[in-house]
This record gives sequence, C-alpha cells and structure tokens, in this order.
Amino acid sequence: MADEPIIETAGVHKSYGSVQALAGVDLRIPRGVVCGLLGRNGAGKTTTIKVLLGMVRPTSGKASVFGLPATDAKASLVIRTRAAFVSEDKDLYAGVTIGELVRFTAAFYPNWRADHASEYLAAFELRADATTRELSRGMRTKLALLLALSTGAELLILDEPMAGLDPAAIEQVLKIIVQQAGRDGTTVLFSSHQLADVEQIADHIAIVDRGRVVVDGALDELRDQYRRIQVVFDGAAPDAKLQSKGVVRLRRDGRVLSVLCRSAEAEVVAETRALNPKGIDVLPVTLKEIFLETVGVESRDAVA
Amino acid sequence: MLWHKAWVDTRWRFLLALALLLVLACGSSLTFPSVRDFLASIEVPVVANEEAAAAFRESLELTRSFRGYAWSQWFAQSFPVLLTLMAALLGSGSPLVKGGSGALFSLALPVSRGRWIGTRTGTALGELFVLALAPSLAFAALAPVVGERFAVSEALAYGLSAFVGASVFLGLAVLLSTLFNDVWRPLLLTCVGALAIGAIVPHDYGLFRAMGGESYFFEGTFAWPALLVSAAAAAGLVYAAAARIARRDF
Repeated sequence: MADEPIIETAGVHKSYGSVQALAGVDLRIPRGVVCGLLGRNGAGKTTTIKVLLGMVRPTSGKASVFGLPATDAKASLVIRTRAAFVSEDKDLYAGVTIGELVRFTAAFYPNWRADHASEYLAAFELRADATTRELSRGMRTKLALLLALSTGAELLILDEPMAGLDPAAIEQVLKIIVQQAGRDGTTVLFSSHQLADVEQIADHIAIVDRGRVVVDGALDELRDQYRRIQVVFDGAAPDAKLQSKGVVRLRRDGRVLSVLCRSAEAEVVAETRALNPKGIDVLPVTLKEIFLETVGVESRDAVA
Repeated sequence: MLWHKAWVDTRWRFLLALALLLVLACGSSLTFPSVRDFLASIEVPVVANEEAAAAFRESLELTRSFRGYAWSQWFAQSFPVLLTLMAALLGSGSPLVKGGSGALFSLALPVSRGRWIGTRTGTALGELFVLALAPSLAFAALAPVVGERFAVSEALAYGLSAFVGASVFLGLAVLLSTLFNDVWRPLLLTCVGALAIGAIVPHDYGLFRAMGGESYFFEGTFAWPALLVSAAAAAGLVYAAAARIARRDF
C-alpha cells in the first residue's frame, strides 16, 4: 500500500509567544518511501518532526502517524514504539558505555533487532566498552543511527543525520538508510541541508519554508512537473508578466527570460512564443533549482 | 531499565549523602559518654530569665540519658535539617531537562513522561527512605557500644517521621526541576523554601517538629496530622510536576 500515508498533517500551527514556528504544515508522506525534508535553518523542519513524535504540542491542526493522532499521549506511545528517532544533536546519555546504551534501548522495543545491532556495531567500528563521552560527533551519529536502526521500527525519523560527518561516513550512512528501506520496507523521513545527499537517496521530497510545506511530492514526479523555460530575445528581454498559473518564478537577465514552471510547460511555451522570441529552450531542473526557486518565491510572497 | 537509569543518575548523590549521615550519626552515638561526662561537670549558670534557665536545665537533663541525648542532639536538631538538604539534592534535576543530556533520546523512547517522572521520584523516595532509616538505626546499633540501649522501634519511628516530612521537600524539588533546566536552581529554591517554612510556621505546628518526632519522644505517639498533611503535600507536588512535564514542549 505505497499510497497509504504513514504521516499526515493538516494545518499544523505552532507558536512560541509571538514567534510562529509552524504556519500551517500540510504533509502527506506515503508508506515505504525515503522522504527528504528540506528547508532553510529555522524553516520548521525540526518542529514538524517533534510534533510527529509528541515532543511539541501544536497550537492547532492535526498530525497523525500510522493513522494515530500524534497529539494524544497514549497514541504517541504506540507511535514511538513503531518509530525510531535520531535527533539533530545526536542527544545520548553521557557517561554510559555503548553496550549499556544498546541494552537499555533494546528493553523498550518488542521488535528489537539484536542482529542489526551487532551488524552495525561492526560496520561502524564501535566498541561496546567505549563510553559515550569518548565518542566524536561522527561516532555519536553512528551510535544514534545504530540504536534507531535496531529498534525494528517501521518508520525512521532522522533529523540532520549527516550533520558533522565526513564524506566517507556520509556515504556509509546514506547506503545504510537505503539498505534499511529496501531490506525491511522501513519508511524514512530525514531532514537535511545537503541537497545532493537528499537527491541521491530520497524518492519523496517535502520542502518546508517559513513554517509551511511549499512542495510535497515524489521526486520523480517533481522532476517531471518542473521545467525551466529559457526564452532568448534579439534584444533585452521584455518586462512581461506571464498569466499561466504554473509559473513558479520568472527572471530577466539581459536577453534571456528564464521561467521556472510547474505542470504548465505547454501553456508557458505558448505564452512566451507570443512575445516573438529568438528561441525557446525547455530544460529539466535539478532538486537544487526546485528548492532554491521555490523557497525564493515563497519568501517573496510571504514578504509581499 | 528505567529504575536502573534513575539509580545510575542519582547513585553518587545518594551514596555520598548516606556516607555523610552515617558518619555523623555514628559520631554522635559514640561521643555520648564524653558529652554526658562534660555536661555533668558544668553547673547551670545564674541567669535573670527564669524561662531560659529552665530550658537550659531541661536540655541538660535530656542529655543525661542516651535516649534523650539521641533525640535532642540528633533527631530533633541535626537530622531534620540534613535530611531536608538530602531530599532537595535527590529531587533536583529532572530526567527530562530541556537541552540536557539525553532528554530528546528519552522522549523518543516509548515511555510516557509521567513514567519518567514517576520512576525518578520513586527512586529518589526509596533513597530518601534509606537515608532516613540507616542513620536512625545506627543509633540503635551503636548504643550497646557505649553501654546504653536504644530501641529499634524508636529509631524506626524517628526515621519514618523524618522521611515523611522530608518527602515534602523532595516533592518540591521534583516540581521545581520541571521549571528549570539545571540542578542548582531547584536545589537552592527548595532550601530557601525549607528555610521559609522553618521561619514562618509556628514551632508547635511546624513540619520540622513533626520530622523530629517530638510527640513520639514525649508522648509515644506520632504527629499524625502533620505527617498526613506532609504526605499529601508531597503527593500533590509530585502530581503537579507530572502534570507540568506532560504539557511541556521540548
């Protein structure tokens, strides 16, 4: 049931005094996908994740995981039995050994995978007798991942899992996330600033900006939907305003009019053709372009 | 596992407190003969205030017996103060401190916030119980060493009275720990609260009087109203802490 949402939120708001952290998050993440949650610093990624895990109570709106209300304390316990989390800070107990922490964590999960724990201990070169104080940030990340991956969870929620890792470790982590998703059908929701990493493993993308989800969909579909249309003129590009609803962003740069559009390629091409250009090129776009242009547009709209 | 973690988190405070209380209790017991002999050698000074002179004479009279000495010097004076301090120490520092070590890791586990607080408070109460009884029983155990007798039942009575009273301060520290993200402010404010109770509440109705087992020493009965109010207050404070932590954002 790939289309069945494992995470669904509707109009989730969260305010801290006068600061609005979430301004109506609408999110729908299907079961079995690897979903990259993108956004700038302070966009609302971590708050969204915390709402899903019952760590933050939304001011209004609905959030459900596995079809259970994330805001209900009893339902949240069930959610946390079936979902594992790695925090941005790789927050672990200080002064305990890795072995003790593994045994401690295992006690709370009925589907604990001891085989996974042993496998990742070896893969991550973690010594069971080392204490958490001795670990570098990278090693702490690996330990936090080991614990999350061994819970037997149906859903992994990883907040900036690649932060602080060297390129080799990032590759290793990405590989393990993909492996976990492929092997056990685990749904993965991970936030990241690293667009290249997200593009490498994610098959679903959600972009959060200023507390709202501005893009939510399958990466392949987004790539199919978005197009950059480069319109070249003999002289300076005209100060035209396109009427097509699919225009995400429009820029003029000398003789070139550059249009990023979504699901409106034919309309935009027809509209720009009426401007008598010298040539029109329709180009595919990268995730980075979608991210930057979408966030840019939304920011401008928000200001306006 | 939660109990084990709560024990690991508090064990050094508990063990240090236990060692300190045992050393002081044993020291008080073993110095009884020399204190008794010293007091026997002094005379009541002549003072204008007859009331003060009577109180001084009563104090001297009490310390002539081991029972009176133990109660007046330890159970009625040092012990309630020390146990209050230990209760504040054991109750301070929530396992779910925002920005603290492992708080988000704890919150992500399938464990309710109430269970976290309950387990930690339960562990601290158990430790406080040991801190209340062990020094008290030390008096009963060491009395024969100085050629005296001290009933175990009496030691238990004083220990239990002190435990119930000190649980109020443990509850206060637990509640304050849900408001602050460090150990020191709850500890300090609980001590300030204890000082305020000692200063404001009249001695005859005071918590420290009940903790000291005064009614048991003189009348052989517990100060039931004060102890029941203390137990209810402690439960209320812990309940308030659980309710507060349940609503908190992390």
